[in-house]
Amino acid sequence: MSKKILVIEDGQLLMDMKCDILEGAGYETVRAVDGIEGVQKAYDEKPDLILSDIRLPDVDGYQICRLLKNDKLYKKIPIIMTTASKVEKKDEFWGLQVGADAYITEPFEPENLLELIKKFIDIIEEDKEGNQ
Amino acid sequence: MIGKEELPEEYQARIREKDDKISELQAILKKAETAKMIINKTNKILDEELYRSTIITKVSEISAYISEYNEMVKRLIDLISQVINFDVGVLLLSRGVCNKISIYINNSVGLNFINNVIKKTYTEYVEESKSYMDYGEFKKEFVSEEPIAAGNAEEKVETQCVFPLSVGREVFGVIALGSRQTGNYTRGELETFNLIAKQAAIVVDDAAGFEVLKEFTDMKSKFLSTVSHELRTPLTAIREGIGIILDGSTGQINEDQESFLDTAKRNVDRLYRLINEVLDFAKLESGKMEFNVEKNNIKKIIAEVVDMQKTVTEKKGLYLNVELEENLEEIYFDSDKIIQVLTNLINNAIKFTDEGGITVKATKNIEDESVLVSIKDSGSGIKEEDIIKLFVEFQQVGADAGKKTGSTGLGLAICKKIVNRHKGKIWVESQYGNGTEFLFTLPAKKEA
Repeated sequence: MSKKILVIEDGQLLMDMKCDILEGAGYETVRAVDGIEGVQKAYDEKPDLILSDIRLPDVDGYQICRLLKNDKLYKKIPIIMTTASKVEKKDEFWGLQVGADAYITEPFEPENLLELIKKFIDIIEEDKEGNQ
Repeated sequence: MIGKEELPEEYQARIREKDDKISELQAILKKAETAKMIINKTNKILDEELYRSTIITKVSEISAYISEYNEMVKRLIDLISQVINFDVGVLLLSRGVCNKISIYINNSVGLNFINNVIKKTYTEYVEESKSYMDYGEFKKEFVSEEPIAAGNAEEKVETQCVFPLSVGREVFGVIALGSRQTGNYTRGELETFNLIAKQAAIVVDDAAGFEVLKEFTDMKSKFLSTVSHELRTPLTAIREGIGIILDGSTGQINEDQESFLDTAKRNVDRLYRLINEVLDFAKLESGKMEFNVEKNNIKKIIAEVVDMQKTVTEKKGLYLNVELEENLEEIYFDSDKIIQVLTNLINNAIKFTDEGGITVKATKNIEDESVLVSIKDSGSGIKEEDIIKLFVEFQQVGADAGKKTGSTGLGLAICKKIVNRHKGKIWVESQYGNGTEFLFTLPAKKEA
């Protein structure tokens, strides 16, 4: 079964680009264009992984992260944060504080993103096997 | 009923427009609901975070209890239990001579469960600290009141989180929580636990210092009493033997033999006395000395002790005066122990006085009816810098004091302990070259 990835991104172009990369690698994608939709879809669709921008309208990436990571049912979903600017020290600090699992700075190479995602997906798989 | 498709195109378009509007509005409504949910949840998370941070601040306040290690551990894990759910909390400490595992039971669990948590904690400690200590060397102590549940042999530790306690690089313990419930802790909970563990490390580090000190004192007392006991037994045999030969019951001895045996006996007696002092002190320090507090007449006791010392003072050409207040009533104390204190103080006074003499006084404090006893001599007095050393064990005042008096330096330390056990005070007033006065009080009521 292909893995479901929730992409939260407010820029149309970036959204299409990210989804193309992921779909090309065989993942199923779910799109959300703002923070509220992102949270909604995270709860409704139960994705295997979330790729979220930090700066979003309404509810930003940190808030999504804090919300999900404090929820017993959703905290295991890995969250990868993306940011257009070079990661500021402050961003990284707050990101880790709320529990983001990884960071990736835009622009990024598709291979780097896929590699990172695969790492987390592998961990999930291992956990599942371990539990059985 | 008319189907939609039968309506004129114009109407159909308007209906479609309305439908689109409705779904658009529904989407907005759903979004608003989600937004409300996000706000509620975020508020809850923030509340929890605020609550946790207050708990974390409270950890540092525990330092007020550091003199009582177990109490400190209890309060610490108690605080953790207010923010994180767990069944058993364990604090493993390995610091110098102090190797302890303190166990706090939050929810009643079986012994098997507790042992599993402890074992996991221990394994984690070995891994973190890279030091391999024998598991059996850890003293296990329960610090909570919650009882251990009987039976329930098959309780599995489903969740366990462990954080090392370290100050600087040295890991000197770990703190661990074990739970029967599945489902890991949330990020916030772990973050809090981590912060508490970091704060706790500092508090535990301080408390461990006290604990190590206590352990050393215990070891010292134990060592002293064991050694003294071991020394006293053969010495008694030697003493008896010399005594029997000396009194001639095993046959006539000549003058030379008698003089040598006399020297031997004097020294054995001295050694015997010193060992007894050490033993007394060890007993007092470990709290094993039993006190037999009864109503006693202090006047009678003082008169008895003074009578015994009369011959010594007369030999040395000193006076020995007694001034007892008439209204001294019977008060509660252990007569044997107080005789020991009086004898010791009067003996000291005689030792350090070459001219003049000694005055023993006893007066009653009208306010609380306690009795003040004073032993004043006209001897050389004590230098100011030496006064503070007086009541400290194994300290002897003056360079040749030990040689001159042949004592252990324990006499006054023992006196202090005995008086303190009676809830009394002992102190000294002295001017160098102008005599010394030792004073102690005994409360009127039975308090010891």
